[in-house]
Amino acid sequence: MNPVLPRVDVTDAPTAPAGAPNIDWDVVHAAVQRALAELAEEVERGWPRARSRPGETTSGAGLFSYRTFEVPTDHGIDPLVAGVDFRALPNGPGLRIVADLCGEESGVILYECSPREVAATTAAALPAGEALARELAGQAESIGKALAQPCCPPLETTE
Amino acid sequence: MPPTLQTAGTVYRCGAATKANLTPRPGRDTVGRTGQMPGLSTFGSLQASVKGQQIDLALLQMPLRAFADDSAEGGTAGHVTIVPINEAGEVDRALLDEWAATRATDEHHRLTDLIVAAIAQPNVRGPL
Repeated sequence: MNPVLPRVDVTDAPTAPAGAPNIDWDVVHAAVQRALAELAEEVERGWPRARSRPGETTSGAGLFSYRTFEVPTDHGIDPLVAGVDFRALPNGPGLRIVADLCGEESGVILYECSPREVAATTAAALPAGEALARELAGQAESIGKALAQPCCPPLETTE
Repeated sequence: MPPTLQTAGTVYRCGAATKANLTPRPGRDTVGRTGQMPGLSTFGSLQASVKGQQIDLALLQMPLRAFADDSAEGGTAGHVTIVPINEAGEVDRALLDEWAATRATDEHHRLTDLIVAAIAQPNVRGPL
């Protein structure tokens, strides 16, 4: 069973900061992760060397719920991240949701869903985020093929 | 001239906003070179069709500080490193090592939280 990564939460305040959407991110994150867990099962079934871990990055303005796929024994392959990002619109009360599959370090995008804009409520964010995560869940073959060869080398290095 | 302290402007961390990618790599990012500080690598721009995290250096809280490479001394033009410093303004190598050691683990480090807090625009696409 995969470990659940701890929340990376930079907000100390018990309530959302002014202007931030008042959304139950735990509920939204859990829904996204259910869909991404199905993706993980399919990837690990088809490509037994692949492993995945769930994660989330939160700030006052939103949530990035993701699952990282990698081949632990091959450090030459950039891990892949299937993730759904929920972010408050800068000039309005709504929420913008984007989802894609990209190289964790390279940032190279392998698949991208059409972004959605919904009301900044849990009731609106939950089904929209879940639908995008399910769309990403159809990318098992893309992930398996990408992890089978180092097609996404990191673009940056300090060496 | 050594790498230059940069306290304003925006830089881009290439890749996804995962905990691991916002944490330096042990052994690779913890060692600097002539003209370049060790630490988390960022760049002044983002290549076409590449995803990254826009970091506002004015939002970067201590002990983290950003240093632009000195390209004349072997650094890379446009490359900016984010690294913890001590009260003397020197690289806090023990803290950098401690931070990097959490990259492949389930624990998260407070310096990763500070990076997240300095992200002005997440998941932007190049060219920028």
